[in-house]
Amino acid sequence: MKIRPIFVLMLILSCFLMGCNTLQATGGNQVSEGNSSYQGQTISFVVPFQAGGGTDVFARFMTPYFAKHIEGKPRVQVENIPGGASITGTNEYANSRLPNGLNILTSSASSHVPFMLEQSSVDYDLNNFTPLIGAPSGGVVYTKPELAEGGIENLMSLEEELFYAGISPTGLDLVTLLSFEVLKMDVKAVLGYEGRGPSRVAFEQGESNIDYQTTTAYKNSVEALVEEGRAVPLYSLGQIDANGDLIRDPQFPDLPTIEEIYVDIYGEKPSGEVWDAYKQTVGASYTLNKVIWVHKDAPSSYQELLKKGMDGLINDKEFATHSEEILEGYDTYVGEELNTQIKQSFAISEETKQWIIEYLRTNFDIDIKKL
Amino acid sequence: MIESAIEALFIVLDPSRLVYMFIGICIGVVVGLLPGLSGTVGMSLMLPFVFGLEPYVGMALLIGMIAVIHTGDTFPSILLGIPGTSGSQATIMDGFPLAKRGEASRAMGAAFFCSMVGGVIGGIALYLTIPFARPLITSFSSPELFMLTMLGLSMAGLLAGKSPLKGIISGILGLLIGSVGSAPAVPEYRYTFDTLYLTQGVSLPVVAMAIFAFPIIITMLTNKGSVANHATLQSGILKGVMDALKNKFLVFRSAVIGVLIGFIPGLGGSVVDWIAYGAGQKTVKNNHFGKGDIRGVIAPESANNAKEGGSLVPTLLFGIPGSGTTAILLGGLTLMGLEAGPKMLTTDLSVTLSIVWTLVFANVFGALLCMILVRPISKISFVPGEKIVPFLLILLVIGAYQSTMSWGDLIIFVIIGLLGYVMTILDWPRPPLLIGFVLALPAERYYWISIERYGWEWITNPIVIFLAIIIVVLLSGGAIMKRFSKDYEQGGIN
Repeated sequence: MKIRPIFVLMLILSCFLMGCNTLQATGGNQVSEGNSSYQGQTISFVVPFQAGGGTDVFARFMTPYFAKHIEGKPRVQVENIPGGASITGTNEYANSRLPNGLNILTSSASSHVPFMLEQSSVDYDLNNFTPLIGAPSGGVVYTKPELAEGGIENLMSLEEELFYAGISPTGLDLVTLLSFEVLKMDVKAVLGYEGRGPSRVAFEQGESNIDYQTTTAYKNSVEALVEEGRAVPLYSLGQIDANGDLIRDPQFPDLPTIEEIYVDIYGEKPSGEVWDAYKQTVGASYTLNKVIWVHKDAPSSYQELLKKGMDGLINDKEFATHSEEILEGYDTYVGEELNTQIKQSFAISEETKQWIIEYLRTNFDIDIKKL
Repeated sequence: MIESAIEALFIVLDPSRLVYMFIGICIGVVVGLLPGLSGTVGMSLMLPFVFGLEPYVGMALLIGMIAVIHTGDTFPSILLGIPGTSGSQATIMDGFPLAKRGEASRAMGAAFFCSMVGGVIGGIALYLTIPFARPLITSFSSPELFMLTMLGLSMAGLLAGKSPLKGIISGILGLLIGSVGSAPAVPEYRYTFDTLYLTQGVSLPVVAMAIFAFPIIITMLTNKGSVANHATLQSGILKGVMDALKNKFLVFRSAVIGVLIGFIPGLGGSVVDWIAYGAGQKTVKNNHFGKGDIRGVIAPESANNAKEGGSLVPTLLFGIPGSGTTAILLGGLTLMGLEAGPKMLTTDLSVTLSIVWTLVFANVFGALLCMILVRPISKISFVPGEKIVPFLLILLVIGAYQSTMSWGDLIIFVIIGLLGYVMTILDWPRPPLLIGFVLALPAERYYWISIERYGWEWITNPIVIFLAIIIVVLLSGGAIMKRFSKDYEQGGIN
């Protein structure tokens, strides 16, 4: 029998493949009430994105520290459930994962904003989750030096000359688009780019002339352009502090916020629905760019252990030094501070919500109820 | 830069790092070999392990794997007519007929040799373009990218075979399937039938598997024979290598096509094999492509390995991934404490150069490893169809399910598979469907952006006009050339 070895080989390969499958099945059903230790347990960490993206990298970076600081040293297993711009995976976490304390989730801006606007595909309620740790991000808007020459006033007087290359008006682009709206700038948004990388290339080759990048990408790719005199930063998108005010981004202390620019130009503080909408989206998209959660219904002893683990984690010197790249140098939020931020970022007033929905409908022909 | 290149060579040749490269190569060959598993799956499997690794070591592992996937994926394409990954579909066209004639070894010898040469050319191209990468990449604006997708689509016409009309319909069908899911430019969902699964569209591995593998499986069951009709397996690896050497210009041409297509971000490198195949078909005289012409194996195999070198340029220097595989590679870079961007040319230049070397070495070693494996693995083509089908089914089902881990994948697999089967029965060409599918989104995206940004004035862009002329020449000139070469043949050149 010459064929035998091939069968054996294929059998081995098949088994190998089975092994490749995720450990989805093993994480779940071992709920044992009363057992309040993570000793020998496996926590399944749901990441609603494809492996390799920003949020996935964030989650994978966190896992060893989770395993180290959560009492009982549980195994933490990342599980990617991509699709629907993070909504598929978050829905699955909310509805199909047991609230046994062995399932945690990471969310990101793309799960926060649709939740806030009550997009119809959203089948989760962030209020039903307990936040464990939150991480901010930031963004900087920049333009071509020749356009910035006459100062920001000059930029605002331009009509039909500013082009912005974006991905989609419901993603992170929304914040930038709203910032133009607050400053009453006439910017033509060309949407449909594949990502922030291609949109940066569009800026470099002149297809667009006003652009933004998030903190890391800005530092890696745009600062060099600024030094070469091919780009000029205008403002940072800012952060929301505990009082709900817009403050300068700690990573870019020299860049003004749009509030400062507005005061300079118009001599008064920005106000009204646009302004509220802007601050709301900055909070939900940047100040709380990523949040890790556990079901609110999970055994409270487990929730306590997880929270305590987070406290240990942020005091870990090793974590502080290694997290520089991944967390873009921002401080994380835990405990009460996190709760306050979450409350004010996600508690959107009915008027603001309607205003954003209406804004998307009139400017981009989007019906939020159909997404 | 030569100095730092030599320095990087020593870094790569450090035994502790070489081990990782070989692990990467072995995983890459296996992932390529198994139909249904693509580079994306391989990368996601490795990602947890690169965390915290020294960049040189991690890169040796990841690049070692990426480099050889398109070497290993040749096995199922030639032996079974099932694409190992979506990058080796075109190899089937002539590789499978060759295997049926018992010349599998020859086809694989040629394929592996070409993969090696193509991969090395890709590595060299990566090295050479480093200084010019920035001006080159920023020279493509959306209108030009749109015309390039049109150029790709016109290849569908070339691959249509006897009936151009069937080819066009097949291509349009592909465009239609490609438009399922969220639209690229407006947040709008199309043909999703209110299911969340379809909002992300149909995934390429599933379509590629279904359209080629499903019909083959049915044929295997109904024909009850093994793939190869001849009782003896001719040992022909060397013959294949000689074939490749005889066609060195074709190898080189195809590799350059591969590098260029990989290099242009957003064009979807997954059609590179078809484009190289189509270009080969047009330019090789006296060919009988599609009926077991060794040159039909040489062209796509040279291109698909070369593509990786090209696609690493936008990935590493701009953070723009050209494919699912390179998208995950970007994540891997971050996990190792690196960031894609201009820094890869300055402070992290040695990492970039080590990637070049790894590409070159991995392609050479991967091809050699595959050549050693030819003998045992090619016996598969003698296994009776009905005995091999259960194994294949398991592999394909898991492969399809792997792509997004959703039951929808399996349903789509069966639906598209049936479509593929009907198309085979009716003798409709399937390659145009895949090209249409892959280029649907980029074509729409760049068309939309061009109009939004420039109105209609983009049509007067000189490069756009130039590309348009090429397309017209390709489509009409093809027919003329064919006639011309026929006259040639009759004139007694042979």
